[in-house]
Amino acid sequence: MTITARTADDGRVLDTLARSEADRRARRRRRTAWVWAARAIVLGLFVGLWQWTVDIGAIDPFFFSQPSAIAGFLVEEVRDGSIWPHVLVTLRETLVGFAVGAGGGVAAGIVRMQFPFVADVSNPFLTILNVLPRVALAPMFIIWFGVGEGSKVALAVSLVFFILMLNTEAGIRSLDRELVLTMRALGATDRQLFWKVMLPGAVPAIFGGLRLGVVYALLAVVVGEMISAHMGLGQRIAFHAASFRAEGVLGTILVLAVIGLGLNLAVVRAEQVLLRWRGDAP
Amino acid sequence: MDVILSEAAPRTDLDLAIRVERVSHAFQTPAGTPVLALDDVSFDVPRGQFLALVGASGCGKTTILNMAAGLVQPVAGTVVVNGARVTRPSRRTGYMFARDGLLPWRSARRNIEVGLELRGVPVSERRATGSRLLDLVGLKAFGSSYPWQLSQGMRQRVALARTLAIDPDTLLMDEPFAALDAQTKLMLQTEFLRIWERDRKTVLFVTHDLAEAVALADRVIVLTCRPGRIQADIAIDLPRPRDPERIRFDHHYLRLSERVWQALKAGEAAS
Repeated sequence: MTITARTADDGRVLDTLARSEADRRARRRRRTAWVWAARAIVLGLFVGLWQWTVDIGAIDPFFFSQPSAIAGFLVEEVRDGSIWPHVLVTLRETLVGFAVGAGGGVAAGIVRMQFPFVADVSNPFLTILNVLPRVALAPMFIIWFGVGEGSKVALAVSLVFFILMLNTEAGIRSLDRELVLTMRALGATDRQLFWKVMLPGAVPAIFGGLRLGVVYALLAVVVGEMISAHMGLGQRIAFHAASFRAEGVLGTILVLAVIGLGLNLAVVRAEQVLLRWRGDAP
Repeated sequence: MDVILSEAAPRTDLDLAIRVERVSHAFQTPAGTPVLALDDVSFDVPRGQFLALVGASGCGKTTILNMAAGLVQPVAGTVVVNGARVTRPSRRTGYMFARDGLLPWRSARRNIEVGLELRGVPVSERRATGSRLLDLVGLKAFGSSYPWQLSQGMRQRVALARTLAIDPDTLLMDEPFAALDAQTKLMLQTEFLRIWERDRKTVLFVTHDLAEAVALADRVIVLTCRPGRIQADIAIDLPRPRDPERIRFDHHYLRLSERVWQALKAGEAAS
């Protein structure tokens, strides 16, 4: 909407308004710049202090390594290309486990919400499985699915499945009754209600589950790899730890952090695209 | 009972849009005691009539509407709409609520078209109807806006357009303008009357706003409370087309309003 000035006085008021709005925007930009600068300073201080305390011999690099050593390790790993197969395996296990677990969890949540009988029968079993620390199942998964990628995928699925099932159910349950009533009065069949109201209405809750699930999928895969694996970044961590190479452990953890950030970003982006209608989407 | 029939001429069933016949209904309170909500209510609505049901909140007005919509089954009696006993929601009936109930993930246009979508109307036809109705309710420029981007009044216009899009034979309206501020309310009433007066569909309109009932309707039925019974049936013989903004100062309008108001008071005293 544009406001046009009718008198000179009006013009002055509108000018002042525009100026104060510009001021506000400039202030906001300056603040953002300062936040980023402060973050860089905090990071620089931390890394610098770490490097320096090791240099002067205040802390033992055998236990804590050193930023320069970690950087050297990563450069070496990337240059000889030895890290990529492990990154690939971990990434593949995570994505497959996440996809299967999320798909199954959403489907289970939908089925349980559509068929209360199924929900009532399955409740105690699913509750027990859900409260069980799934990582404790890792040895069994290795026996069942082998030392290869299957057991890691299984562990990831066992975590992601429940997160998505519970979030999907919460999403469907929290649906505004008014919408269901309105659509029913408009002549929606049960099937149409489900596809046009309940499922789209549950999408925000499902995305909450996906954001959590992707982090847990990575966690499960790395734990599985650390317990027993031929390949993968978790296996590398266990290997470096066993040979007392702190820079190897910390360097690999840094790579995992980058992967975790990337996966999280992918889910957030997908959410932004799919939930444009909310306007306040995070 | 102060009954004034609005239609003197005898009617055949063909002229009848809605027949509410000896309907009684009861609710179970949370405490477990049953409460009689409607007690032996009967009335007919001829095709093309705009009938308003007024009464204090909780008098079973909405229950009657829900019965006509097929969302609630009466404990006793029958509700017939367009010659058929209502047992489930009909695709020939439009229902509009006080809350817009717009799907937040659909644009205004896609909300308007949703009823047609449910009926399997082809996309091109849907788009055409959507455009026509966006225009009709004065929201031509807002077709791609999402509900959160619209004001309360605009959202209710979208809800009205959604109800009209399915071209219903009968319109059921449950305080459709109650959630709006006074100014917006008058504007929407005026617009709704303008749209209604073109094709005069049968309207069953529930409100607790007496002024609204008299300004819009051909006939007002006043319900008593707990149990809901018909206290008065008053013909509103004001000329059409009407302008709800101006009619408020009309003498005949004021006389009719007073009669409705007195019936309401008598109903309250009786219960």
